[in-house]
Amino acid sequence: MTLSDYKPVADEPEAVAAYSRLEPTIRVSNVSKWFGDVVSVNDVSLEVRPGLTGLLGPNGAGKTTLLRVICGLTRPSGGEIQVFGEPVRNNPELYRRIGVMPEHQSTYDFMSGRAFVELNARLQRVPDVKSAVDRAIEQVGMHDAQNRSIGEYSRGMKQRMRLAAVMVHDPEILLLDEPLSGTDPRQRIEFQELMVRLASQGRTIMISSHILEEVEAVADRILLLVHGKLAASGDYHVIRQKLSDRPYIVRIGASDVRALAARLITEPFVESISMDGAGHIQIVSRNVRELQRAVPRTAQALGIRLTRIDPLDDSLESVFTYLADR
Amino acid sequence: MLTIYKLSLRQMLQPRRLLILLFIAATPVALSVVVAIFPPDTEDIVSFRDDFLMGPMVISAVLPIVTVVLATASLGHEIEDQTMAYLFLKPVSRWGIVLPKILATITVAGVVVAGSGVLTTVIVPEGSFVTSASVAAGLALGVVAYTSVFTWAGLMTNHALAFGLVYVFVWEAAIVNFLQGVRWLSIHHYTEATIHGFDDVQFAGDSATLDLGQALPAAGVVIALFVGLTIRRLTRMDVA
Repeated sequence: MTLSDYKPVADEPEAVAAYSRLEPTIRVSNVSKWFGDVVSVNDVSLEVRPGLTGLLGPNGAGKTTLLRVICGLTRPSGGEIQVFGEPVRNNPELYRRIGVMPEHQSTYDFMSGRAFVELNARLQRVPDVKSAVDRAIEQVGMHDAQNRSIGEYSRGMKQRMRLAAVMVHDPEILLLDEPLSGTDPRQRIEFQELMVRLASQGRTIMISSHILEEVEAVADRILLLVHGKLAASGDYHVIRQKLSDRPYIVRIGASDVRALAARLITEPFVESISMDGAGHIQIVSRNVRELQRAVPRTAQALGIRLTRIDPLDDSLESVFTYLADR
Repeated sequence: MLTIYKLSLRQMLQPRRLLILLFIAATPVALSVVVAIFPPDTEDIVSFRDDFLMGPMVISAVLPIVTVVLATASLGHEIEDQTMAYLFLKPVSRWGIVLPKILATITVAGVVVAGSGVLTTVIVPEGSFVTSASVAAGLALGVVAYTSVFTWAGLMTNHALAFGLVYVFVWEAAIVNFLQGVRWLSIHHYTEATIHGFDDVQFAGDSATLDLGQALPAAGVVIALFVGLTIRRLTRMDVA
């Protein structure tokens, strides 16, 4: 199956219903984690079922901490985690069924890529190490570079070899923290196709990212974490719709901002226009696409020269905070 | 276990650090060569071997420095380098991580330290098989005890190496020398007692030395205690 053939569960209502009937593989109940006075994860409860789940949130939202708690690397300050119905902390046998790729992790740079994957296969007690290593390296497209030292790899190559190491024992659950960082666009598509293929085999895959577009094309379900709390969860269309409804603020500089403002305020998609101290206008709109079309068209019709157009609140932080506040 | 043992050996045999440790270990051997080429009186040779080469150099310097450097790094560097998760997220019990790490440290430190001590006694005239065998046994015990303590320290603090050097050069070299009642808590004294216990000629003039019957159980308690603490720490800690 390729990315273009794939439709996330959320695209089809029957599939959504079928998805909710699947037995959860991961259950997180009222989990909190704090470091001193800082609350990183705040009373989060969620269930993850087979398929591809995107864990989204801005940097510092608590995604990494939540994934680390789920996989047992970090002990929660409160709450309970169950994976396949078992507690994960101090339950090493469970790792035969789980593959985890933390975000910031070094590699043993003195090894070749192949030796590194082989090490992971042996630690996982894979019965046929050679064929498991061949398969994992082939899956991430690193066959030609497998015998080079990891220290010589680019960041993207290291990411792929780490992924091969995580998949070498063919786990039923994959927890991947920002797996696409450092990869180029072609590698991203290949990675997404691989995740789709693995998810379609009934595996539970959880991918964290601070970039919605990275996971929306493949995720059956999205969990949105903001300031350590689960701000939204569900299918990505619903979350996408909420994003589209969000008001955008655009700052415009022009040769005659008053004339431009007087015309644009009559447009139905413009909610308000104000002037700032520097002589620019700030337009609030919920239909950014219409606004993008209307501004140059209106300026041309009025013979006005545009000097700048800046979106003011397009940061991911503001997008996620907006969703969290709704 | 064997996979982690082999991995740990490879990590420890990184050339730069190993070369520095080998240089330290070679120093008493080089001095013993000088003594062999220009031998003083027989009495002076034994005194020079025990009171200069074996005591202050091999037991007080080579043994703790080599072992502390390797032991603090064996788990400590996995934490620092964020590679511990590769071991932690595998179907391997925590003792299945700790024991091969400790065994690998003992292997490398044991070869380097015992090699240094045995070569020194072999090269210096007036030595015998018993001399060399007792030195090997004593140093081996010292390596195991230091390794168990400082592997634990490597998990407890980022400054384990500094902690180790303070233990060796402040606690053992200074405080224990003045307060002999606490020599029970000195791995240096377990080592000396073992050598003296198997070969009563060596360190015969040192009244502060423990008996072998005291040193071996004390060392056993220290080793078991700190291996247990290391496993407990690894079980409870959050891994980066």
